[in-house]
Amino acid sequence: MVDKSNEYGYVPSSPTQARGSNTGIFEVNDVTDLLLAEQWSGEFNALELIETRTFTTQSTINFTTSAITDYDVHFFTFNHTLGGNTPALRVSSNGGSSWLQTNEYDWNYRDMARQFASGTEYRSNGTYFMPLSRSVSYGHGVGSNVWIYNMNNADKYTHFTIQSAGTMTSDGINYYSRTFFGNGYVQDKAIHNALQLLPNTGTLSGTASLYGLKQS
Amino acid sequence: MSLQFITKVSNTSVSSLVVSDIFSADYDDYLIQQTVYDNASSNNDGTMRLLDSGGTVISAAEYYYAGENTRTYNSFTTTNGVGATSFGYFGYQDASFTSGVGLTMYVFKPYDSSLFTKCLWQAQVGGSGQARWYGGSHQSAETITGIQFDTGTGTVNMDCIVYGIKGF
Repeated sequence: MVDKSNEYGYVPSSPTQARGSNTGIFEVNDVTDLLLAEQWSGEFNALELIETRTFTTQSTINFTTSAITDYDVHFFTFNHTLGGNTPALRVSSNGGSSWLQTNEYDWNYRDMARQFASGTEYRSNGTYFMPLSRSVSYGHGVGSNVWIYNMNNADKYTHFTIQSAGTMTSDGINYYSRTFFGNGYVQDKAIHNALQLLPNTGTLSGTASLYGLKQS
Repeated sequence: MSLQFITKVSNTSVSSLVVSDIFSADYDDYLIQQTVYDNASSNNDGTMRLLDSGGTVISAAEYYYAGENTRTYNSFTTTNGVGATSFGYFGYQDASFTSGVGLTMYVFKPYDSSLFTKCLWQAQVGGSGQARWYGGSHQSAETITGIQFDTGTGTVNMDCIVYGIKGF
C-alpha cells in the first residue's frame, strides 16, 4: 500500500484572512459561513480606519502615521467638535515636521443657514483648507466628512470635497441648522503624508477620524 | 458603511470612458470616484450617461438634475437640466492641465428595474478652483448596468473607480 501519511496536514483551528496576509487553510464550511456573513476575502472593506483621535482643548490635531501613504483616497470625519473659530485642515509633505502654510489652499463653499433662510457663498485662498463647520454647544454636534483625493500622488494637487451639518445660534436659546458644501485643492504637486486639523482661533475638543480608501 | 471595490477603469486621450457591468444585484447603492480628468485637448465640461441592461448608452431625454457650480475665481451659478440627454457638470479641466480632480458620486439602486436611478455628485475639478455639487434622477424605470463619462469637447485622460456600498 502507498503510504499517504505525509500527504495531508492539520488544518489550523483559527486561520486568518487579511488584505495581503492570509495564513492557514479554510475548510469548506468556514468559507460558506464567511460568505454568508459577507466577510470572505475579496469582500474586504476598501475603506479602512487609519486613526481616530479624541481631543480636549487642543490647539492642533496631527495625523502623521506612515499608513497615510498606503491609500489612494482619504476620508476624514470631524464630529461633535467644540471650540475654534473656523476649523480647517492643512497638509504636510514631510510627515508633519512642517505644514504647508503659504497661500496654496484654494477653496469655495456654500453656507446654508436655516436662521436666515438663505445661503451665502464664500470663496478664497489662504494658508489652510476650510471650511469645517463647528458645534456651537454641547448637544448641538457637528457632523462633517471630507473626501481627500490624490494626497498620495506626487503628480497631482490634493483635492478636497466636504459636507458638513451643524447648528448656529445668536442668543444661546434658539438653535438653527447650518449646512456646508465645500470644495478646494492644495496647489502643490507632492505626496502629502500628514494631515493637520486646526481651530484657527482657540482650541478644539472632540473626535476626528482618518480613513483610507484603496483603488484596488 | 463598508465599501467594496468593484473596478477601476482609466484611459488617456479619450472623449468617452465607458464603465460597463458595474451594477448588479449584489449591491443596492454605489460610490464612484474620479481622481484624474487631465490633459484636456480643450476646455470642457464633462457629462455622464447611464448604460441600460444591454450595455447600451441611454441618450434619451430622460435626465433631470439640479445643482450649483461653485468657484473660487467668480460668483457661483445654479443650473439644472430638465429632460436633458445626459447628467451635466462632471469633470472640468483647463486645456493641458494635469493637476487631477476629486469627484465622489453616489448612485442609488441603479439595478432595480422598478425605480428611477438617482445620483448625487460633488467635485473639485480644474479650471483654477471650479467645483460643483449636484443631484439628479434618470426618469425611466429600468435596470442600469453601467455609466459613461463624456467630455463634450475634445479628449482627456480620465479614470473611474467603483465601489459597492454595504451597511447603509
